[in-house]
Amino acid sequence: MESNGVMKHAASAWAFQLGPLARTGNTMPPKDDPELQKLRKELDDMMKKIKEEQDKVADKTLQDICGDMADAPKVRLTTKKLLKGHINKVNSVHFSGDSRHAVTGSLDGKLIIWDTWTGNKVQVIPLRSSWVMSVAFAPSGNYVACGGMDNMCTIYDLNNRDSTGAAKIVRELLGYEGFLSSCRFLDDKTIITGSGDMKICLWDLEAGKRSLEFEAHSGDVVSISLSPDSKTYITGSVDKSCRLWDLRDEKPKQTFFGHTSDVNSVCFHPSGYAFATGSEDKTSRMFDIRSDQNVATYCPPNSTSGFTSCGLSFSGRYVLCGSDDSSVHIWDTLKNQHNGCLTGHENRITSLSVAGNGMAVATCSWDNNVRVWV
Amino acid sequence: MDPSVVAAMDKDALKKQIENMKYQATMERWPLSKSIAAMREYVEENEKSDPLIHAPDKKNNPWAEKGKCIIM
Repeated sequence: MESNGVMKHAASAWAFQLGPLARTGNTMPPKDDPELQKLRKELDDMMKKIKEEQDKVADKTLQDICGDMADAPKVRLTTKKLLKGHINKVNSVHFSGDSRHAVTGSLDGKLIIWDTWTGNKVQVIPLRSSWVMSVAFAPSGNYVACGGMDNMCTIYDLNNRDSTGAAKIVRELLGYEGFLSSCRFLDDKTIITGSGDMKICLWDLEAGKRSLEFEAHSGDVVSISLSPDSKTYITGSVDKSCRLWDLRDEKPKQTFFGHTSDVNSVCFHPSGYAFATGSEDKTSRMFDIRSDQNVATYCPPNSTSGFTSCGLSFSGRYVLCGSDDSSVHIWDTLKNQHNGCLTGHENRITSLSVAGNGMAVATCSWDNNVRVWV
Repeated sequence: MDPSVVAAMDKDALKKQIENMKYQATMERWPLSKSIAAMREYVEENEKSDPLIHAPDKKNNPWAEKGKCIIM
């Protein structure tokens, strides 16, 4: 059942409600033994204490600190390039580090590498599986990665062709027990993936081996965002939470609650101390890392649709969210004001990528098109 | 955290979750007055370089439509 652009398996969202037991097929509730009760109380007390400590530091609000700022100018982005080429839904888009090229993945079974300055297709890569859900461009521009319902992540070398003339597959990362939902290159040698089996994997691409593999959430991991210094990352999950991780750890640093449905997308703030989200609950939020809490909730004027994707502008002043309603909603993050919508797509927007230089935003949609907004 | 989620957890899941929350249970937090002010300061410092706020000249914008004449 496709409830949003990430094509989540309906059963997994339902199974989450019953927790890990449902995933193992055991739907019997656990017997209430003293140790179980003790553990439940310990966790409950811990959560209460954390909430108390968060409330203690909530001495001011966003309105208190930013209320006197001038309103942010109206964002004037229009479609400068309408990239046509895919013949089925496009599920994922990601800019290269050069702020010029972008990769898209579509259910037509192709990856397309676009030169967004000219609109030209630089490469078309046929995929072995058409069920692609996530794509990533290495910051260097040398590699792209993709994966989806094939339960694997495939790495293509854009500078080397195989005998058919398509970009060569240099790695097939296997062993996932669920769909690949998100991936991000740290550099040419390292990729981090999130998957429907609730795990995060860190891969050493030279050795072709996992450096780390661990259960990260109590539901599908659907989004990953690297910090500006690449030392930490945020994950978003259908379990409604977001987590902050140090790159080499298997335990999260912090868990952020607030959303009332799947967190579909996370995006690190350029300052490195906050992150924005887009959720099925029809809101976008800003979480502050050092204060360990939700500092703003951004609601559209008519809350009809979930957000599938999000990005922040170069300074962090604007958050942009791709929506099931076919538009991109924009907010002033500091004054919590809806700044407008980018309209043009004719169906759900599945993914959004802000170029590193902040000058362009790429979106892709179930309408088979890719738009570059400048 | 959803009470229904906690209620459904087995002992191992509870132990794991408790481990997961340990850092957060003892971390030092910045007051919002300080962290929001820092966010505002960062944004204000970087607004001049944010193309969505200060659009670059057409000649510095690779996506801008080029004029019809070119110098041969």
